[in-house]
Amino acid sequence: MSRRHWGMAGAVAFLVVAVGACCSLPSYTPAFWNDGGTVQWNNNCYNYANNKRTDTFAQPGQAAGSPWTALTCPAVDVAAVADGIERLPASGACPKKECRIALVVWPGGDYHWYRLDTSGRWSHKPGGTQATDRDNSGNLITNPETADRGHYTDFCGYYCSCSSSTEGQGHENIQ
Amino acid sequence: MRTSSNLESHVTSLIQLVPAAALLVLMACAGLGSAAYAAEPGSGLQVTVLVYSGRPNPTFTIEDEAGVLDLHEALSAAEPYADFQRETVVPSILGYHGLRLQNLSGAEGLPKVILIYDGAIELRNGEKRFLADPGRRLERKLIEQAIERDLLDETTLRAIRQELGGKPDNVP
Repeated sequence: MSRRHWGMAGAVAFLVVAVGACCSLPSYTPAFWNDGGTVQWNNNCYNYANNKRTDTFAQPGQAAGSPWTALTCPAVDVAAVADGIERLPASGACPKKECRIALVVWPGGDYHWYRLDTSGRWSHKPGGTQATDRDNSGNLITNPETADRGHYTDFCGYYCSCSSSTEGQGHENIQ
Repeated sequence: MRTSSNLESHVTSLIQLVPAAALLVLMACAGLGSAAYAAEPGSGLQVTVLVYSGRPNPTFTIEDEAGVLDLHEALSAAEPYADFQRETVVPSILGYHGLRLQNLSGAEGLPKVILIYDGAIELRNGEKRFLADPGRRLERKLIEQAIERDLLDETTLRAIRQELGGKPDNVP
């Protein structure tokens, strides 16, 4: 094959990868996650916020080979960023149609993630339970900073995730 | 004569099999309403304490025959929760939200999945059934077992105690 042909093949491959990784915003479609079986019990808040089904109860930093080491905002932040999750830029908008997600921490206990759907409201999936758009008080989540989060008292910040309009098919590399 | 003797012998064998067959049918149909449970070698129940959202939840396995039998008896004695209104007993909330028991090895007489939270028990075996757990007795008993196995750190235990409205009996 000539150099020209190799160049064309490379361009096509690049396009395929680029199109395949095109980010889009998720809608609130809990039925995909709430099957009461494999999907529901093996995918956690990190899976849901990134809209990526792995069936592994994904952990921040695991895919990058450096999983979280403490249950604090800075430790979980570093692990998630290592996975490729981006901190929200100072502009306040996620680039390239990425989805806004939010991290909160129960100090010394656990961490939790929310995601912003096309509805303009936030939703989440507390561990192996069903995905929902309501907080601990049963209110719709319009702002994760003010939602009833129980023990998850530390609000860490916002991030950007390359999500998908197809449920479970987000493009971030998490495990 | 020989033929007649053979026929007689077959009929006798069949008649001898009837009680055994009847027993097998009874065992298959018994479910939770009877004491048909018999622990198989290697059988057991995986118990998951549902308390975290992100990190993996604490898990232990009830493997001993007495432990599985205890649970079987508790479920057999539980009254139906006739007016249970929600889709599932486990709520989608942050913090402690119950227990999940998986009958991974197919221990006889128990459903595949049991969910327990806040006075209600959900049995899943193809279809759902709801039972009552008055005083959260079964739930507390299983939490005590998790504590005995040293699975719950101080922060987690404090949160569970708070949710259960008092400390489990054997908590130091």
